[in-house]
Amino acid sequence: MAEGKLASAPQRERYPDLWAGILSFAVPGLGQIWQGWRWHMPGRLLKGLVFFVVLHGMFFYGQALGQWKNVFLPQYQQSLGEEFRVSNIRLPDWLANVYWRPAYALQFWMGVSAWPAVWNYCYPESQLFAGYQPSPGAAGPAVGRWEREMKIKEFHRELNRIQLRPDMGKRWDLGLLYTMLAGVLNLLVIYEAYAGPFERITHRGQTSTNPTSSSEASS
Amino acid sequence: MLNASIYWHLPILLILISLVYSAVRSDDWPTILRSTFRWALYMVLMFMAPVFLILWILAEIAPRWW
Repeated sequence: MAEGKLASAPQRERYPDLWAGILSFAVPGLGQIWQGWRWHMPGRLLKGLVFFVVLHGMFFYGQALGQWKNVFLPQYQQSLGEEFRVSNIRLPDWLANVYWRPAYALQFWMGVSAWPAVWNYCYPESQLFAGYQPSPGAAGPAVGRWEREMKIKEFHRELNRIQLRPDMGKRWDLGLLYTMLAGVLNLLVIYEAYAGPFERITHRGQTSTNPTSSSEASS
Repeated sequence: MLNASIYWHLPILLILISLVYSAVRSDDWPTILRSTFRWALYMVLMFMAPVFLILWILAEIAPRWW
């Protein structure tokens, strides 16, 4: 009641909310912010802002700890010159590259902040993101395997140099952990924007004992 | 900051993870904050404390046995 007429609308009419899920996928917390704005629920809007700040804070702080070199999707597979097969089924190169760099499978869920890596993977000659999340080994189709391999080696020399710095210690691993955790936590946030708070889902079977829910059921 | 122990990140991570996890469970802020505290405490007592205990036993007690 305090949060306006729309806030008292039955929850089953609000969820599932596909667009909010998509918004939170693109920008963590944006789906909840939009829902809070649309339904006049300041608590939900605040929650979206908290998701936005916390997850972006974790992701960018993690990248800063890793000297902005720990989020990337490499083109390792293209430099190997052989097919990647699982149970004799040939997997596409992009999937093989995710296999070689599994951290990105988690970082990807952070939304647009992590997608420049995909752009740099697909369009290696584009200067749109320049040095942000570069794809090691990424090159146009005209570039040979040897040259691609040299690019990968050069990238890893740089990573080794950063990790061996005396002031680095375990910060490289910690940075990677922050970025991966941010991606994983955003999976929860995406689902929450789509399906609503989890407690509501857990207690669906107990709605008849809840006076608020019983009024929803009768409406 | 660079000279600070990396272990200071542990409570920060703990609180942030608990906050996000609690926030996806409810829309009610007092419930979220209570739940954040509960989850943080739970992770400290049920996960970090046993890990610490095992590592401490391996590092301090076990070497005396052999």
